Amino acid sequence: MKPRFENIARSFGVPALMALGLALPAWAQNPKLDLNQLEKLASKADEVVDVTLDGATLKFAERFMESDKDEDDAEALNIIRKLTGIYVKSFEFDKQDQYSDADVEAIRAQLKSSSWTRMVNVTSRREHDKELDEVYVMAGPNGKSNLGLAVLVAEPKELTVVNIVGPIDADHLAALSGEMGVPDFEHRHERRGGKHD
Amino acid sequence: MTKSTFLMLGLGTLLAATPTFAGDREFHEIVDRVAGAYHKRPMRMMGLVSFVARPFMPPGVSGLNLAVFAGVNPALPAGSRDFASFMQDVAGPGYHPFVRVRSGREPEQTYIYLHDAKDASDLLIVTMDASDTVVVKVRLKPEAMRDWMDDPIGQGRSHRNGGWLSDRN
Repeated sequence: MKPRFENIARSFGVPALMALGLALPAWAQNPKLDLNQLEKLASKADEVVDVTLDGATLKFAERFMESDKDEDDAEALNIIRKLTGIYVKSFEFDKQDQYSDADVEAIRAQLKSSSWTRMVNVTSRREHDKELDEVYVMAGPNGKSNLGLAVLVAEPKELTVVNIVGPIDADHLAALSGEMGVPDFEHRHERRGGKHD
Repeated sequence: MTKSTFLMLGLGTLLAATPTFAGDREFHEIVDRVAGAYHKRPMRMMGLVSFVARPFMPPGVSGLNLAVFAGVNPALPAGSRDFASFMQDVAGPGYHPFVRVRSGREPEQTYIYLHDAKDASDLLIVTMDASDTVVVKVRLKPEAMRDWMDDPIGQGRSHRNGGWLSDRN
């Protein structure tokens, strides 16, 4: 009986392990974050906003920008045409300290894989303020184009995560800044006078 | 006013209103699904309110449809897994989730869906609070979509606070 079990295990186990081995890099290269990990904060929040722009809704955005013929939108339109999704989750609290560093870490943990690289880290100069902006990009397998981008914005009474799926880099973020739920980083930085690395 | 003038006015009103009713069939189906889930009928005269309010819509916004369900328990109807999937069932497959605004402490939530129309987009907005459920459908031309695309978070919050008509220029 035992040799027969070993044969079965060998027959199914090896291909299964191979399949798992092939699947792991694909999983590791998934630029879509699991934002549901932040759901536990919803009960403490004054307001929770989820924005989903993918598939059809992204096509609407593209079409409206085409018909709008606004020159300022031209760069954003070129970027959006290549994207597959923009996801924003934003929590607004009526008082400070409603979320912990561990809550922020739940998202950071997903960005700690070797595929993600932190491109921007802006922290407030003021002490006792946990204001920070972080921008991460996921490099493609050939290193030529990125697969996605993530933005983490933490303020004393607000926590926002933006996840952009598709070929985009940190430089493109300026074109989308202040549009489609993506925070306006330029104004934020001017307002705060932050530290940048 | 003569009898024939009355007849002409009546016919004119009827002809003007007929395409609206045909286009609103989809909205009525959505309203029926909410009514079926909560075993409540919408408040009367909302069709008339929608019709009267149409000329006062902001630029690029048209085709207002409004239904108000008063005294609705905002709990998830039996047999539904969660609000997101329940609302998607209510909206139907043609509508795509766009913005969702929830209050963490109060049973208040707003779901906003987009539907592709030929030269415009249909926006379906369902707001539920402790006692009422309001279903609104409007057609947005690209110029009206601009505000939503520029700032979907702000627009969603504004709508939740009842400012979706008043804060637009």
